[in-house]
Amino acid sequence: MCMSHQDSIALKLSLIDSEKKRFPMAAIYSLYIINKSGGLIFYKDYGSAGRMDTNDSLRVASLWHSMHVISQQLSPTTGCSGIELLEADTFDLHCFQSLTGTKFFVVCEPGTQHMESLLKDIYELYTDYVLKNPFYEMEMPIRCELFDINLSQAVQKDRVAMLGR
Amino acid sequence: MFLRSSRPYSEKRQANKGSSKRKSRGENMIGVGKIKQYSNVLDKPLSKGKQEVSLSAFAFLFSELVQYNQTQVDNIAELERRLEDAGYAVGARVLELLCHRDKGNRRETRLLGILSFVHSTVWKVLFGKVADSLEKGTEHEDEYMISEKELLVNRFISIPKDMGTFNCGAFVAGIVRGVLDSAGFPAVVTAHFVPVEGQQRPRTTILIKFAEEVLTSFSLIVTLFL
Amino acid sequence: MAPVGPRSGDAIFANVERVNAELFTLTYGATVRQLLTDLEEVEEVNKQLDQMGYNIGIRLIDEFLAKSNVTRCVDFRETAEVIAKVGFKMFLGVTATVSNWDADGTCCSIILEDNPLVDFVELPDTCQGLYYCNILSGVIRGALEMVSMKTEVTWIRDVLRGDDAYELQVKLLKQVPEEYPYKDDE
Repeated sequence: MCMSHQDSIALKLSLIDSEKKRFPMAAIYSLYIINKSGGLIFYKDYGSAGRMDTNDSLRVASLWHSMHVISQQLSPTTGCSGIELLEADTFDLHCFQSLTGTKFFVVCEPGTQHMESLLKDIYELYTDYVLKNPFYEMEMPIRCELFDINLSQAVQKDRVAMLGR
Repeated sequence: MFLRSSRPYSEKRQANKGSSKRKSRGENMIGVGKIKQYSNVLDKPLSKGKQEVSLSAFAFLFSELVQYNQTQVDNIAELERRLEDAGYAVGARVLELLCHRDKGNRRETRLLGILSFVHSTVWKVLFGKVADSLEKGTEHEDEYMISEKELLVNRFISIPKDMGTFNCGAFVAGIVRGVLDSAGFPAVVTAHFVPVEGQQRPRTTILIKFAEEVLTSFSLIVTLFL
Repeated sequence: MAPVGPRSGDAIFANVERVNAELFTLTYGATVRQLLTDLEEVEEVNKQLDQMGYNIGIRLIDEFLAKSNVTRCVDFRETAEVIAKVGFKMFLGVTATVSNWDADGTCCSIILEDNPLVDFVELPDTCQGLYYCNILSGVIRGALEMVSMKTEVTWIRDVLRGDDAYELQVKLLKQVPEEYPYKDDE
């Protein structure tokens, strides 16, 4: 809504090595889910490019949470919902924030398409396999087998769609 | 594998007695399950059971039922028992409802009849489909199994590793026990995950172990082929 | 990305997976019965049902948002309409109406004629103080709290208590503005 392609900041962060040539299928590098207080509740990386240890992923999550808030404050008009897309030379970061404040973001190969709809799908999977699970405690790290299974299927489907281009 | 059925039968009978006592007390307090044909609240005839709610509404309610019961127990066996009790109340009423609606108040009196009634009619009404299979136990004369690739109640539920073999299907086991018991076929009913070759997820088997008196009066059971 | 408009309650309900309402009704009945046995006092049961509804509400809101494409409502009036027309329909398959607004638009009634929670139910004499459907008020309160609205939800009419409809009063207490996690006083 507020930072579209034209005005998004292309930060030259080298969070992820440009290893995409070696892994042409790995269009998605990683997925994060952050709770409303900025805590990382889910992290998954796909392929070996840019794999992060737990501390680093927690740090990235909390940094992104802050940047997202800052971007809302930077907006000259009110009602900004924060950064949706961040483009860098080695990756794109797509972020979706639900009205309840949970953020879902993927780090992917620059120019990867359909990430908004993938994030929407992941949000729905979250409402099914996380929120309807009686053993999941709100705001806590997600450890739900069915969420993992269905998430891999969704991501896999996306990759197949990519290959079909 | 069938952990609970290895407990002495008499002990289970005791547990069952306890729960039916609780049930009847509950019944005095609240008249859920009473079909109120003549009340001013429901002057309309008993519904045909075609009304629907979203699966999500049920899933959230069931999830909360499990969460509430978790706060009331000290261990997993206790949680299973409480979910089973909740299911029992549903089962008893389903039988009442279906007998009234579909069978003109006639009740099934044969063992195989009631089993197939549970496997097909009850399942269809509650879960929208007939159960995947109904089999006779191979090792024990008095055991039957209803299996389902994925129980509706388990659709969104992942069991944490530290809960071992716990299965929320205990609720469904309770429903089955409620139906059987109310129809005059007392049984011990338990839910178990059973791994399936080539499948990521185990299926659930509802194990039905009939009380002795049921079997002696139906000693001429022929093989089931369903 | 082209904005996707909100979907109607009917359209959503037609597309989601559904179950026989009787499974839902009887499971709810079993829940209430368990609470009556565990807690004994009707007043405590009312409280617990409300709490359970709240717990459901804080989870269910995300599904509501994900499936309905509803964006932030401009005011509380719109919020109430969306709950009645989309929320009740997509989960319970029934529609509700909104009425009895107060002058400043912060308090209204949501009226249900059809209520799948109560089929086959009548309250015995020992349970006259019971708000059998109290879970619903909790759900609304919990769901709205997750989108920054503090509300108070109370029963005005209850068919099980002899009224002609189910009427819930929803009162907006405080609309917490979108806040930043880093405030000076924290």
